[in-house]
Amino acid sequence: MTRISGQAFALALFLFFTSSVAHAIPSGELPSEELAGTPIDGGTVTFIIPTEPPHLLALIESDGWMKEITIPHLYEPLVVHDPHDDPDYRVAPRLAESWAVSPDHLTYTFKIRQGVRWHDGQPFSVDDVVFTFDKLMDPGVRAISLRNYFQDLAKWEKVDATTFRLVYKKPYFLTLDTLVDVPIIPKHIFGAGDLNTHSSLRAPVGTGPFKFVSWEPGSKKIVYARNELYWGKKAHLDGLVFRIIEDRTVAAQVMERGDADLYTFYTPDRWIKLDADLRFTKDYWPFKFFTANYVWIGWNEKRPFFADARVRTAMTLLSNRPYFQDRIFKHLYVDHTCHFYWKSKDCDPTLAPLPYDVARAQKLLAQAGWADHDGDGVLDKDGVPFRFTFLFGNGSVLGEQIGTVLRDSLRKVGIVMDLQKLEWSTFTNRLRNHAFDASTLVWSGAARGDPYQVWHSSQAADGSNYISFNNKIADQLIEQGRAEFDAEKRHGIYRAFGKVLYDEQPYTWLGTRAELGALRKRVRGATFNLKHWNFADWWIASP
Amino acid sequence: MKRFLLRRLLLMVPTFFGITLVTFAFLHLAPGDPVSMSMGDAAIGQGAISREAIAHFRHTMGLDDPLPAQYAKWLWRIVRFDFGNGWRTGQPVTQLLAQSLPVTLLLSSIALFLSYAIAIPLGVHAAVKRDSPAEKLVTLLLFILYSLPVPFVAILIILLFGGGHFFNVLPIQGLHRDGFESLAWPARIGDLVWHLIAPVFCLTYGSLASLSRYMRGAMLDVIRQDYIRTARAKGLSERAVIFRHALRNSLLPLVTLLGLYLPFLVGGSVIVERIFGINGMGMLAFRAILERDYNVIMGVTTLTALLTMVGVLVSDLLYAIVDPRIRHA
Amino acid sequence: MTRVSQFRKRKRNLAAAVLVLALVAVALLADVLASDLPILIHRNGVTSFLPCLFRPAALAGQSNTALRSTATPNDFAIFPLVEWGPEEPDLDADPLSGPSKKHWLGVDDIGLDVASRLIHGTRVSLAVGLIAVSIYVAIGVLLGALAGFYGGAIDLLLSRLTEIMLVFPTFFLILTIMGLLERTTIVSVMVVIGLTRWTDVQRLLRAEVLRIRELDYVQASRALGASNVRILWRHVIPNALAPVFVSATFGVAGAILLESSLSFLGFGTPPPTASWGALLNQGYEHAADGAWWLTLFPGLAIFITVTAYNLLGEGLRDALDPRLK
Repeated sequence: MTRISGQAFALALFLFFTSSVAHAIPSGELPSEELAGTPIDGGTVTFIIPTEPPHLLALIESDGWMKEITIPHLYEPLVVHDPHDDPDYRVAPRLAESWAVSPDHLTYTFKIRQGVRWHDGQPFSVDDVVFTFDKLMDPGVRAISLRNYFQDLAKWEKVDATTFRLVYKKPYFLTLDTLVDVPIIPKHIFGAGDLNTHSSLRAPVGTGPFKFVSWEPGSKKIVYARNELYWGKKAHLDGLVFRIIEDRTVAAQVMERGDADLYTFYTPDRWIKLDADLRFTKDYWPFKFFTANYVWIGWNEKRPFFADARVRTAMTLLSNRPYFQDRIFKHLYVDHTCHFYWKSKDCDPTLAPLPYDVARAQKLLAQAGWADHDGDGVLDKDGVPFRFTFLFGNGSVLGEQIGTVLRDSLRKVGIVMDLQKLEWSTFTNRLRNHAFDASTLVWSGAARGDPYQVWHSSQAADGSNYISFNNKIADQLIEQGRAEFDAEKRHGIYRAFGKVLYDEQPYTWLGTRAELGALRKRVRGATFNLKHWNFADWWIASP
Repeated sequence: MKRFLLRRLLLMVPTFFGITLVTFAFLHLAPGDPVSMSMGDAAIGQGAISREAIAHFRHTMGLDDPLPAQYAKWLWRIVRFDFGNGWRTGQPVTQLLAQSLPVTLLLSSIALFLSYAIAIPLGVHAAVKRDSPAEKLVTLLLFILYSLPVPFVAILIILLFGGGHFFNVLPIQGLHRDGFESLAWPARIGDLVWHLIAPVFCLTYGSLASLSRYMRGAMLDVIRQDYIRTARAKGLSERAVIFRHALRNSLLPLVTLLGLYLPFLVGGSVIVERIFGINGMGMLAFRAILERDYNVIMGVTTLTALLTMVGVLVSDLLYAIVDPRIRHA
Repeated sequence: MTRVSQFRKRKRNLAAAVLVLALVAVALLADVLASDLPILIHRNGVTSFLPCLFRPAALAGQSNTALRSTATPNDFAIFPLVEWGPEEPDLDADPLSGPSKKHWLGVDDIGLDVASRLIHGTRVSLAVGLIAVSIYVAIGVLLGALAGFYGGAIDLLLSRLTEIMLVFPTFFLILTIMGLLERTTIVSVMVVIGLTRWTDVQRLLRAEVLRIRELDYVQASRALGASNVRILWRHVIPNALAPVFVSATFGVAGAILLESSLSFLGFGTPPPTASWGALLNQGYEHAADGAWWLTLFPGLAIFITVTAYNLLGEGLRDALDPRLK
């Protein structure tokens, strides 16, 4: 009875006081012991992921999570990004032992690794690589987004039993990076039948350090086991379990119960409280890590309001950055103005975000000719009132929060901003057709990126340049960067490009938010940056 | 009766086509298609796909054919029981339905049974003991329950009874524990019941208020009628009057309502399934609609339509049994 | 005894009627009860009445808080009951802080005042409830009565139509319509609920009419030579409405809850418009953060609405029931 009433009392406390207790923001760094010690074999890790993968073959249209949990753990590509090489993430060999690039950067010759076996024991050979590219380039295969990166691939061929060659039409500095996303698939499994609907899509056979065990329909659980036949260093873990839980509150509760070892999708509110929860931190480390994503508000330059760089700058100055930092992002983010991975050398750290400065914004608006001429309380210019719509996609909590606060700041200087939330497909259609005034979105990037799709003026027609950014110098720098194979020189080009963007303020940059997770303390050897889960290095310390 | 049945069965054919036609039209009127939707973030990401690539794929999928042609093609496949494959997962639609339907049927039939089993006595009680303090209290409680939104109740159950800081008495995800297959039969059933408690509660509590109110209304209606007065006048006990004469007739509106619950029986609840991690028809349909997975949506609609029509027929037949005055025009 | 006095006889009915009227009053007076501008203000020698309603240009960009802090001794103002606008975030308040002197019912996760949003949400929620339900009751009663009374081919056709409608999930239709319309508002939510939920009423009414048209008094008036239309309107529909009243009164609250479910799935009232459903949905999202005020107050509002409408519906039903005269 005392137990019950004690719990009832705790419940009352929980309901009435949890939110009023101010929590300090934890640093979220994992302690050094997490990476220390000598790995031992054994044990499994249960990892909660927030979306149910459609299948497990990342060659076919997929989502981010599916790619992350399958490549290179189940299926391996020819080359990988070295997960420990932050922030450069240089390309490292995997199923290709080594490679040579022709001086014109058009021909890539790969030495294919020998003695590799598929999970079912069949030998892996260069024919599987050729088969993979056959399928990738087959227009009937549902690999539209991946194939998009291989438009300039002219030829893929087997040279001899150990050599594979790719020939491109144009030199491109990201050629090797695009190969990281191509899982090599077994010809003897996928050779027969339609790849799009193949039954092995959900029961994969790869070459990676883990092999697929089960994915019962309805159980929302995907199970891997160590691949004992693995050609390289074998994984330490006996197995990996991915539990799919869409709802964040429920996932957090499953962690509270101690039913899982890792979850990386906490809301800031919940995550901050974890640190003060002594019962939880006895077994778990709350931690944070970063990706190359960033949040932006884009101002459509085809609209009369935003054609003028002064107005766009004023918009950035009116964005209540301190409030966003304090109350929405809770300081769990990095503020920057860079299009690239914020840690990379492509970014110029001296280009600091503009402050929240209403007076300066009002001055800029007046200079640009926006004033309340007709005395109706709303700014106008040439008879056009400053009234526009802020568009965001369904499910974008951030869009709603940013929109509400921005709307209030703008109202105070005489600008009317309406909010409009649209169903996702309608939203993306509107962006693609440039049918919006202002909008917010998150760009998900990688360690190395090419700004061409987003910023080149030619991409306003069919690419991702939704705001119709058009700047001659920027165009030149982008083109220069694409054909520059010297990393140092390219960093210089991209920093110059960053300065052009900074002066033009086509976007209001809102920085990169931290990914918030918790890891069971006995799981060791894990690194998280850019979501390069290095499962094969993970191990369990004896309890 | 036989003629009535035959007629109704024949009538199902045009209704069925009506349903599929409307669904089909709506589906293609809605913006987006599986090609653009399944790429999700990629469609809008930095590596946006060219319009040509999308157009090409739409062409190979036959999505740019005129709508009547597409519908005809679909019908022709259905006639041969070919529902196609889901775009997202590549699995056959029949397989997806076979995985999801039993789960949903199990959940919602238990919920429906419980709703009726609890609401009918409550309604009768409310009618017979009209205005008594007990009736007022029960009504108040039911209205409070009705006002509680399902997502909140579900998450509260999970937070309070699902371990963590409070009571660890209920499982909170899925319908089975790990190693379910290795359990003996009685243990399996016990485990299933244990997992069903929370989701079934969430599916049931809200409908009690309206159902019992219907029952109360219907019962009051019947009690006021002449033949009940006659029965009372004949000196029958109140119990006999209520249960032998009034109850049967007052069940009419509830039988009608039963027919209306059928789409729910097959369609499931997105909210409950999502929160409790159950892969049923609700999540299947919801995800398919968001992703414009045409084959899956059409498959779900076909199945729902068929089962609903059968259900409506059954409820009409039941109706005839309960009320012999209805003639089958 | 007249039907009105029949209705008034019961205290409970009267209380319910008063509650419903109060809700309607809150909905109508929302702008005066809770606003970011005063009800009356005298400032810089200028007096403006109801600036909270008319939003004069002179007060553009102002708020109660700002006006209060810049007031001179000559100025005066009457402030509304709740001094926050429903779309005006309090940037000084911690998001998700509970009830306080400044915010009686707490604030949500963007610093919006819950009391103000609840008051303005009454408008949206009652509109959703009343308009959606009026639409579907009207459709349902008409189609149900026609089908049940005339039978034959009409019944056949209408019953098929009902079956077709029955199958469609409401939110699927909403999704489609939201996609088709350039600009979606709360009106689309109402209209869609109204146009899709009439099947219950139609089936209920049809069944009742089928029963009633066989009853003695209907047969009697038929024998007396009354026209079909007269029989339908005078005898059949009024007597068949009883279950519909129960359905409609629950429907009002049902539509409000449906709006909240749609919010949960991301298809409810678009922001920044306040609605009870959107509040409840926030309450769900922050259930683990202990933000009980986001659920309790809108939940209470729905409870009051359900109870009031239901008692009113049953009272009306009893008053209209000819057998009780």
